[in-house]
Amino acid sequence: MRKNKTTVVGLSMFQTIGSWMMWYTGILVVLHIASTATSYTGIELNLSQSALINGEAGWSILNTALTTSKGFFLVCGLLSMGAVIKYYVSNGVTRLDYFKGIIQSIFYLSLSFTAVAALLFGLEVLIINMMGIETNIHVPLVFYLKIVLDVILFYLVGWFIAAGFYRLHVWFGFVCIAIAVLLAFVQSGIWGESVPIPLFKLMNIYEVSIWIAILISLLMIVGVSVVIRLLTKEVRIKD
Amino acid sequence: MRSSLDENKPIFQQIREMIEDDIVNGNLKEEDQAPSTNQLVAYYKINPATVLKGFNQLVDAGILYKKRGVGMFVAAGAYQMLREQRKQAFQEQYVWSMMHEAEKLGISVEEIKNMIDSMKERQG
Amino acid sequence: MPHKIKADKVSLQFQNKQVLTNISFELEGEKIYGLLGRNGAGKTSLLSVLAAFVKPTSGSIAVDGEHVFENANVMEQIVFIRDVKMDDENGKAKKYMKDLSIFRPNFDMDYAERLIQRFKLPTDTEVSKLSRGMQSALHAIIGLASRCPITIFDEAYLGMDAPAREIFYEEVLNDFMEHPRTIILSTHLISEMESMFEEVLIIDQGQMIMHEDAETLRDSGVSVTGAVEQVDLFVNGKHILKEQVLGGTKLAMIYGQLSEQEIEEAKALKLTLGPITLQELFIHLTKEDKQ
Repeated sequence: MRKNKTTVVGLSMFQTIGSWMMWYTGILVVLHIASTATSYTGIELNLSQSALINGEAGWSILNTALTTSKGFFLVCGLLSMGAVIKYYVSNGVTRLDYFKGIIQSIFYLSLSFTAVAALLFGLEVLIINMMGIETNIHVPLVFYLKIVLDVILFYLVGWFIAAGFYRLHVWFGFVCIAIAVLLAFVQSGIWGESVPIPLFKLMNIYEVSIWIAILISLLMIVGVSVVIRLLTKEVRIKD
Repeated sequence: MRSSLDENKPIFQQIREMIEDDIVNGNLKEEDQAPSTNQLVAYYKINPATVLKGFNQLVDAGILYKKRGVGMFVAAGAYQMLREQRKQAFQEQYVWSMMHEAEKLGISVEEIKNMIDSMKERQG
Repeated sequence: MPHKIKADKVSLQFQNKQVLTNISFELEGEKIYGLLGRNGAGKTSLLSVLAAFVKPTSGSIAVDGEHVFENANVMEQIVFIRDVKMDDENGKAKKYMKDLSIFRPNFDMDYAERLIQRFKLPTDTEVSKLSRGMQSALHAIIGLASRCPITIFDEAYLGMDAPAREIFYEEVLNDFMEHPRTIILSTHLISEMESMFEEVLIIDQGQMIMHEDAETLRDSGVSVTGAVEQVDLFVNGKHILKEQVLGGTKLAMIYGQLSEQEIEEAKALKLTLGPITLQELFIHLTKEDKQ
């Protein structure tokens, strides 16, 4: 019986990156505890949707997860090209199955990471309640959706940069980086996050309504995926 | 069997000669089983098709015969047949080159005969 | 599962550099093929096209009529072993093989373990930390144990020492007899491997210059030794590959078979005839200053 190679690639990548993700999550928790412990001043808890998204509720582990995961999954994306495509094609897997498999694993990763973050947040709230602090916590579903979309988009962006360098000249790789920065700014801007970089402020991206933001995020995800597929479709496997 | 192959001859021919040698010098008797393809391939690191080519020539010449699923065996009468062939070849190769060399050195046929006789005596 | 590999006018360019030019050939049946070529002749490039590592600029390679490139069914049946470094692979040899065996329906783990013992491959060392020779052995083990209908070893022996190469040759032949398949061995060190080949392909400067039955090829050249004038007389008008004079004796290598009449003629001229090795033939066919 012939195995479905897409699923094989998807699961094995999920396994590999998933194990990195657990390490990263561990570090995340430690960092979060450390920063909370040092800055704890009995702040008032305001967990409205915009407060969370605008980073005003910086105390929550959800927020720490949201801000640091971008970098982590960007790196995962960067590492999903050269050695990985070589490994799969060397083992008789087509570039299409490689592409679809990684897309599949990104999907699994985004969901599992968000689930882990939600679980940790639940634990955090439980601890806060046990400490007798009055909380009025309501995290909108869209906040979790934002984590899912961020994981997917930043993973793809990293993968896209690596594919650009792998497939084309070095200068094109830098063009890819520029495009990637632009995409990252747009993603932050439309969701009303601020990025402490002058260029970002100059671009003056307006915060849009939730539904439009979701739509734009999805469009960017589809767009970057298509470009990655085009870059890797007939790519030569290097030594 | 030989320890290694000669670069200057086709391999299948060497395989054939090797088996023939073994039959002529009595290492392989009639109705004995010849070495298997696998043994020869592994020992000399040669392509199985090459070994088969050598074997097939021996089968065609009636030296070996095939027992299905068992292997190759020395045919009855193989020894006699090979001896006749070798005799002929002996004349063609050794005697011819001996006379050729003798001619160069100005040795007469009579002298050659004497040389052979004295060699025989020395051997006892 | 008779596999017929058909290359049809395969050309390959890298950044305006012509690597392969109009290569066509057909490989039919389960045989051991030798792909010979000097360094940089295009052996690896050609095999890369066959293994779908790269898409040819023009032309195509098909297995049983199906194009290879991006074809999941065909790619699964081809294993392409190169002697590349494995510095970015962590994990130990057995785990590494177990992981990739998922992709190879015929992978024989028992056989792989037997080979690990024969090559004395350390199983408690990370793959990336294995010595060059051991990484070569690991590549070879993967290539053999994958039991792919089309198995390609591209100078896979390079990092091995002589005893390991000996084991490799023996295992290739043994496993080929037990599990017949198409095996392609590329090399520029011919004398050591030539007896393993059933057919030989010679590539030079990106072009296929010869595809012949190995025995026929060995038979297609003759060395002639004798007195200088006699040799000159005999080889006059023939395709001379190499001439060498030592005192009054001359050795000439000529390309092409001799007729019965020519053999008699040589005898009359008191010349000694002999075959020439594949290695010699190869060297002269791929000489840089050839016409």
